[in-house]
Amino acid sequence: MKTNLRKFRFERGELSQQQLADMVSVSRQTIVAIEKGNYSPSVKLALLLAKKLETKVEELFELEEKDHD
Amino acid sequence: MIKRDKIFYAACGVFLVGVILAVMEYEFALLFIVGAYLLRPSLHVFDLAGKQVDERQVQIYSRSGNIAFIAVMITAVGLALLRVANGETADEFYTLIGIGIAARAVVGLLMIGELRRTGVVIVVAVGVVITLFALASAGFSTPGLLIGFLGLLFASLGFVARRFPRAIAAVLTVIALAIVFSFKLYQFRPVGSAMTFAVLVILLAAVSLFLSSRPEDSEAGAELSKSVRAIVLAAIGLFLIVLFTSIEIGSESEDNKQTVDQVSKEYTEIEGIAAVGPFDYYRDGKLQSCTLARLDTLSGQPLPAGTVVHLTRDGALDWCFLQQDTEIQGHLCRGESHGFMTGFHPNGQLKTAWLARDEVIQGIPCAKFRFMSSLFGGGDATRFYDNGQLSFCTLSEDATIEGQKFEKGDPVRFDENGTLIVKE
Repeated sequence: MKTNLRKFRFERGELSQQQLADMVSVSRQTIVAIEKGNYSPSVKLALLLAKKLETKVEELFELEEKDHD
Repeated sequence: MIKRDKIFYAACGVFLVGVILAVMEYEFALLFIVGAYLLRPSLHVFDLAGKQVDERQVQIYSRSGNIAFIAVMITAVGLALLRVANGETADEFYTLIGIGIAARAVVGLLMIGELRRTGVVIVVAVGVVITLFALASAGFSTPGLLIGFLGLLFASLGFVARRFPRAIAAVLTVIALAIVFSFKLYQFRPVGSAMTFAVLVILLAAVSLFLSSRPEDSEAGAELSKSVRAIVLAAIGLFLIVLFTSIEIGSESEDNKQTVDQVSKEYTEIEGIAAVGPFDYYRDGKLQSCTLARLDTLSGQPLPAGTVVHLTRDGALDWCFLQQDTEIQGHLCRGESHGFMTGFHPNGQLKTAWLARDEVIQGIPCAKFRFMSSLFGGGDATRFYDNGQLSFCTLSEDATIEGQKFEKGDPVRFDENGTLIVKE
């Protein structure tokens, strides 16, 4: 799964990972893991992130070819 | 990465208490230290950690917990097999394995959230386990068949519970109370560990069935799952308290304590030993292990009533779990629990002793066993050769042996002639 979290974080006032983490009540490490592609967030967290970054979930996260296997 | 929040500081406090208790040589200090480590995942499991644990941590706890469970089970099975291969009993490990698997199964059932089904499955499973256990241990003998039948009868309660949950909940409560009073679990008897768990499982089934019979059950949803978590938390907490208490102070309970003068009223005379069960036999029918019903002398060694003894094929005393601290061949050996196995050589000489007090043995100041010291590699059983010569002990004070200086807590080894063995 490809993530555009980092891009949206900067587009929304250059939010730091900690600031975004605080906004959605998770740890900074969780944001780091999502951005690195090491962790797939739950639907709830994905929706929360999208809401806080004023975008849609499908803009934030995209399926890759390998995810279709 | 350390997360400095409320839970972190609480865990630090618990850990500090554990360290202080350890310094004061309270063995249950370990409980606090482990508690500090497990505080965050434990609070999370029962939804009590609030926002202190996020979903990624939840996933990590879940996976690492599963791996830890498998590691503990494999270790327990391995150690049990090792014990059996050495001709020793592995009851503690069987209890550990049983409790681990049963706890996982019960909690898994509760997490599904269908309380009636949970209650039914628990009751049927307990009944089937009783039947299988009876048949495996007693075969198709009258007691085996009788207990097996009772197990099936118990399992059948599960099927009735599908239609009459409240009535069966009441029956299960009565059965659990009957077990508590039959085995005198309220006196914190050492038998309490496995039996206490059985009682808790039955009570959990009763509570599940009772709650499932409420009209609002189907709409309870999240509220119900929270109450289920609270029940599981309370049950596990109670279980740990009872288990811990039964291990730590159970044998010190005056009500429960058999003195050396006390004689069990019901016993069986086997090979000249007044004994109570459980009995184990060698394949040739000779007695392998039993519990002494009264003060008895085996291989020339007086042993108090309640001592679990293990005999060799020749009928000689192999090892024992003393019921209370007892002087054996001039050394005060620890009793109280199955953790302290006092061993003997074939010629009757003391082989392994867990000292209950510091003693000077053959001029060497030997330390009593201290659990916390052993955790850090400093303590172990004191050992002797079959000629009575001290083989190994941990020093209770600084000493100079054969010109070499040793500090308190140092392990020292000697050969059969009493010469110090120096490690290269």
